Amino acid sequence: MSSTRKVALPAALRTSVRMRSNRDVRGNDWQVRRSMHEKEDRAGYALVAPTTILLSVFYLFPLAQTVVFSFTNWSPTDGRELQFQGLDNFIGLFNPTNGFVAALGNTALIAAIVVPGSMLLGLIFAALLDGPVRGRAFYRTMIFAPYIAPVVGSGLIFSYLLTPLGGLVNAALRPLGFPPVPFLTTEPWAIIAIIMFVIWQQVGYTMIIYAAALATIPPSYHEAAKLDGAGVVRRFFSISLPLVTPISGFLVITGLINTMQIFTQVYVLTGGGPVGSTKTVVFWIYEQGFTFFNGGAATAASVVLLLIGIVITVLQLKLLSSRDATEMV
Amino acid sequence: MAAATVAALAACSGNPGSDDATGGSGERTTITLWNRATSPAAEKLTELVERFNNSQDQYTVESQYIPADGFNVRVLQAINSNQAPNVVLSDGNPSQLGEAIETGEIVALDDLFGTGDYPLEATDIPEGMLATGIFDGTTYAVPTEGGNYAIIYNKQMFDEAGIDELPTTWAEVRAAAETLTTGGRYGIYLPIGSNEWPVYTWQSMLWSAGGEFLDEDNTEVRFDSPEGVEALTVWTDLVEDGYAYPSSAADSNQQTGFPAFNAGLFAMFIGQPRDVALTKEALGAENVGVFTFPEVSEPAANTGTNVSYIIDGTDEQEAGSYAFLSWFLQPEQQTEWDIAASYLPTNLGTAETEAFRAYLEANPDLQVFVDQLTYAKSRPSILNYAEVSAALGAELERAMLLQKSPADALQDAAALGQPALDD
Repeated sequence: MSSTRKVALPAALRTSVRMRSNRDVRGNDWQVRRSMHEKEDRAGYALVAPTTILLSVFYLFPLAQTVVFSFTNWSPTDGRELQFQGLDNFIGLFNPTNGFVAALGNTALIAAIVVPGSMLLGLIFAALLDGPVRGRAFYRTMIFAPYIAPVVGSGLIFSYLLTPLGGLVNAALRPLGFPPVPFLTTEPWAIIAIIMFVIWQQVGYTMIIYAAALATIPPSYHEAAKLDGAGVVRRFFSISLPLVTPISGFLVITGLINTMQIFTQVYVLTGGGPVGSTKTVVFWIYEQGFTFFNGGAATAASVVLLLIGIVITVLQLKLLSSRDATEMV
Repeated sequence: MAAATVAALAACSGNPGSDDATGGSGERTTITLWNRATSPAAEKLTELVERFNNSQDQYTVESQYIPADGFNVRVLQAINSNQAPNVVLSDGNPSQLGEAIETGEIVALDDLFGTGDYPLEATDIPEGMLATGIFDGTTYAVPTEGGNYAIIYNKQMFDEAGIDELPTTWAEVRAAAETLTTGGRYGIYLPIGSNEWPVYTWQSMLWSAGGEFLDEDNTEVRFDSPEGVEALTVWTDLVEDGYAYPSSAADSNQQTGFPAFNAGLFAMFIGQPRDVALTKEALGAENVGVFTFPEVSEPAANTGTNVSYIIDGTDEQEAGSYAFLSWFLQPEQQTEWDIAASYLPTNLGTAETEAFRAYLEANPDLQVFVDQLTYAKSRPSILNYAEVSAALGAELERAMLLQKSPADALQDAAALGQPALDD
């Protein structure tokens, strides 16, 4: 049975199998080549082995386990025998009383504003800091810093800035005649605060990516346009913007994936409140998993989130590849 | 994310303990203890463990710090993977204990009381506190950290408002709050938020109004009773009439709102023993006072007790674990522990020690908290407490934000919380 089974071989192995069939023709020369290839193969496998092992242990195995658990009554805390539950966990997610749908809506709202918002601001900053601007490195560092700052730390600083009790933001609004705004504890301010915080974090990343894209535009394009009398604004819209557009697709995908996984920001700033208005999907999953120990619901929600991520990525890649094809034509 | 969830939930590593029958030092049995104490409690615990180890030659306790965040999940994971410690010191709320007991690996203590070298009887522990560790009639855990709450108030504001007598009922609190509310300052801060604190504090309101949280069998929610509505209306009326500091304006990271209290934005709040020191530091010891948690119609108080328990092991390990726990709960040790960590005594004898009496004399405000323990009750020890609490907490918040009437909020909370009990 096993001898007739077809097994898909990696490309490098297929090569050496093909070569083996040519043994008589190639003679000794082939022997040398084969041993070279084998060495290369071994080296290649050795190089990818650590990553493959790590990915398998820490990503693929838990991923498969999550999918399996999502159809069972698994709980992270007890060792009872797993019972198959069919689609119960998944159907249960869409019971309006358990808050998953609302968390999905909150996540979608955050993504819908954060992704374009951080991209637009990133592009603006990248464009402003493109070329020989005085203090460019300083500004870039300042804008990029939030992206690498620990979320818990910057979240706490944000909560101090936003508190109605002498927070800097409210202190600045007071002379303008505004009463203290309880940003983190009232609707809809709380989710607005979360969105602002995430944009503030993300914009450094989008700026750096756009800056790299802008740097690849040959200066001759701008020089030619300048000779034709195009001003800065016109050059940006006619040359820079179209040429950095392909990178936007990449930023949309990474931005959506990132915002789908927002957790720490919510945990630190609002704890999901007020009245659950800032609970995101991952926060919901955390609550089910770690507070209520509903492993089945938590894993089912994780699988739903994974599927949404896959769908978004596939759609984006399709759109991008079709546009690339059009552009090439 | 999917992978991350399971990786996070499943990868909590345990420390070997239950399989190590003996340690490396001769005949001594090694007892592994997990704690989540942070400074200054951590320093005191290290000192106490060392003292226990030096006080006898049978057992060596090895104390290991596990971060509080996810502590309970780690314990449960460790139990399920046979890597559990022998003793878990001061685990959190009732549902967490319930989850641990569900594993079937927690040692029942009823037969151990009164045995061993360190005399500890169940009757040494206040009934309400001991109840936290009783699950389906069996005692699985002993309280090692006690806490409750009372009203902390700004003495200076009370003096200026001419309030001579401290309120004993919520009607009197309301009258005081009305007088104290003036010029942007509010009378009282009431707990709110999507967490356990509002539920925990409101339970005293419910009991004081004559209501019950669950039925006798812990199978039906009972907080949506007329007494519950009455208890919640006391608070929502204070908000509606503008005598309570608008809870929506509180910092979401501060459950009791004491930073706003320190800033003079309101005159009273429901606080814990440790809040007394913090507020005195900010406002001056002479400006801060404490009075008993007021009645709606009868005295009531809730005790928060962190409990400790023993996990199945060899006979020597279980005996050693109990020896340590019963030693740790002796008044002498507990006095030191309570003073270092701002906890209330969980052994009736502790409050009688000379050292603790001296401590209370130096900090008379804490006497209020200690006195309340005589009638304090604990939250129900049930498996799905967290879900019931979350359902109630969200609805209490809606009521306090005046988005729902108290009756509707409690009814909805009951509808959401009951399925957790039915599971």
